[in-house]
Amino acid sequence: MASPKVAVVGAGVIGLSTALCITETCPSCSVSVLSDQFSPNTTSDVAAGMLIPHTYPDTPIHRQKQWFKETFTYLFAISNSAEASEAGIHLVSGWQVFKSTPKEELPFWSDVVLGFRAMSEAELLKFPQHRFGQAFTTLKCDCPPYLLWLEKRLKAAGTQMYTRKVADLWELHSEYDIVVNCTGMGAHQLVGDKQLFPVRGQVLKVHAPWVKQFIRDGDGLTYIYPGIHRVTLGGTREKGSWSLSPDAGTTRDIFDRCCSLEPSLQGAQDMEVKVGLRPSRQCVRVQTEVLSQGGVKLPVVHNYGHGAGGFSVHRGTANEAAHLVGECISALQGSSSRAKL
Amino acid sequence: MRVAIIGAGVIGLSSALCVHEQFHGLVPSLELEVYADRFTPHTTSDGAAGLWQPYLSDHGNLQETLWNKETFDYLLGHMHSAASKEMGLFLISGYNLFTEPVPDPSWKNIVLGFRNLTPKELELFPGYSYGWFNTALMLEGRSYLPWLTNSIGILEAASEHFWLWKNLGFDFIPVISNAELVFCSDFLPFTSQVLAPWVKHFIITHSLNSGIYNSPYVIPGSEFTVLGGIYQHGNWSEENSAKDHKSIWDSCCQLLPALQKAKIVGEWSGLRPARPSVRLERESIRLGNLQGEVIHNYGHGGFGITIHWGCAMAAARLFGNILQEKKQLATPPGPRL
Repeated sequence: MASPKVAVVGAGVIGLSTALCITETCPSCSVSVLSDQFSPNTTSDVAAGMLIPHTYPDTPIHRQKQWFKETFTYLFAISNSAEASEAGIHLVSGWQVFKSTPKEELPFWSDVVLGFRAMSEAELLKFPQHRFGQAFTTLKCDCPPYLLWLEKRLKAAGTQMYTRKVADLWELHSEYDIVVNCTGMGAHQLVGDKQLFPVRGQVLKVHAPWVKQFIRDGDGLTYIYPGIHRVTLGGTREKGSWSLSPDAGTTRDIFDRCCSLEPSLQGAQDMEVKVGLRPSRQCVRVQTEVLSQGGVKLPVVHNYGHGAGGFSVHRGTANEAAHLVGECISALQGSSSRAKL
Repeated sequence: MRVAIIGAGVIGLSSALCVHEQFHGLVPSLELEVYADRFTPHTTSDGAAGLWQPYLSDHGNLQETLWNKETFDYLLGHMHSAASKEMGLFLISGYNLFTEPVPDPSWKNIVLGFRNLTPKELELFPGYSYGWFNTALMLEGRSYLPWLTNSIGILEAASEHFWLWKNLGFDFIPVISNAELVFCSDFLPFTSQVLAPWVKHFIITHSLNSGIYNSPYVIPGSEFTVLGGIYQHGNWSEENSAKDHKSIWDSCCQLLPALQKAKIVGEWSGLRPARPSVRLERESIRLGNLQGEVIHNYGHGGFGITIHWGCAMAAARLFGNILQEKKQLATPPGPRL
């Protein structure tokens, strides 16, 4: 197989970063990205893109930590380079505050982010309803810039992008040798994964350029994340809700909660309301599955179900998926040479 | 009672506000008038980036450290209110970088979360082997000065020269805060203003040979990011020099490579009114038949915003002393606000 043809389905942060990893690990591959949506219309575009990991209940912690570390290291290097502003990657410092002291005061990722420590009494005075807090510096991936930067790198590597709705992965078997499924919430329909469920998130994006620090409530529901041009105010975690329409009552509630953490937000301007469905699962599915019909096989590498933590682990899972693609290619080359004998 | 404040930068206006807050209820006839050759947005305070940070060492001047602390605490107290945006006040974290270990500064317990940099953080800044991280405040003059002005509704008038006080027929208490009274030699700082909204931290490098602010620094404001680091000795000219701008640019880009893509939107240079220490004291002045009490409040160098409120309160206390001496007050002024 001279030039394996790989189709990556999905053009959010998972699809694009996985496609990029494949071009890096398998330069002889011909990679195409197929998606019904591209930036700025993906779920990733709604997310703030903060590198603060979500804990998956059924993925071993060491694996999650490895994914996060690889992602942080990769983005850290970009943030420190001349490409940082184009890629939308920047460092941001801030606080995570808790109304009651969490069971785990040191999360698994505390030694990956920069300068992690408990907040001082003086710092906590600013949050009278909160009793405990953590201060650290982490990275933020602003979208659309980050996705557009990934697309640019992909095009430079010869990757083709197609706007196309894939109704069934099998439809790709005649055109492609390997399919990579990075469809996020789309996998619910596309591969019938009933373990995948939406967790609806509504956010507000406002112009408040004096906000330089992030503030996050440890309950994950209220957060203020300053991006390059806009500050993302959040949010909600509505399990099982499929609605993509903004809700006005929710908007007021999010705004009020954020203003109670940061009163100066009363002066924020130009509010945009966005909704995304976090493609959630007990564990991220990074796994090979070989589809077969009538003696014809189609290897599929799944990489979906990142829920609230997509940005935090994207490069790590992309690396793992690219590795699985490499194994599929070896298997195909092995079987094709056997076929020749 | 007419009181003149000479100088409409952060020192003049905050002194005015402090005197107004403490005494307008006690002295109904109090009229404050501000005289200056420049008002916002053309004062030195308007050009400053606005970062609260004292110099590295207080040289044993505990009084100045106390005024710095009073200022920080006062500003931090305003952070809970929605007025902070109008004041141009916001929290900001950042880095101070050194090429060798240095003692902790006098202000380490005033700012929030002061700590040394970790090795991983130092990887961001090749050439620097030691540093601090802390959370401080920004107070932007372009917003703060109008806010101060609105807070007291003071009368303003332009003046050509600070000697006008002898012609004005004031009762007895001008408060002087004009930088031009400083006869010490000064440094001429240049800054570039760029659009780099992805920069969320201040970064201040220190070269212990060159002295304060003579080494690149990057300070992100609410509208643009200030790049600086040139500090020329004894130069009273305010002309910008193209060569100095390029040099700031190159050294800041070395510090933050992404700045290469930043768009330059302006430049500014101004005179920091430097002095070995702040002059904050009374002086009785006699000129012919005219006698006046003067409260000096000047010489705040590159830390005017940092120290302003502590000094304003000290100036207000001196004012109160004068009023008491002149029996303008039945009882001494209450505890300082």
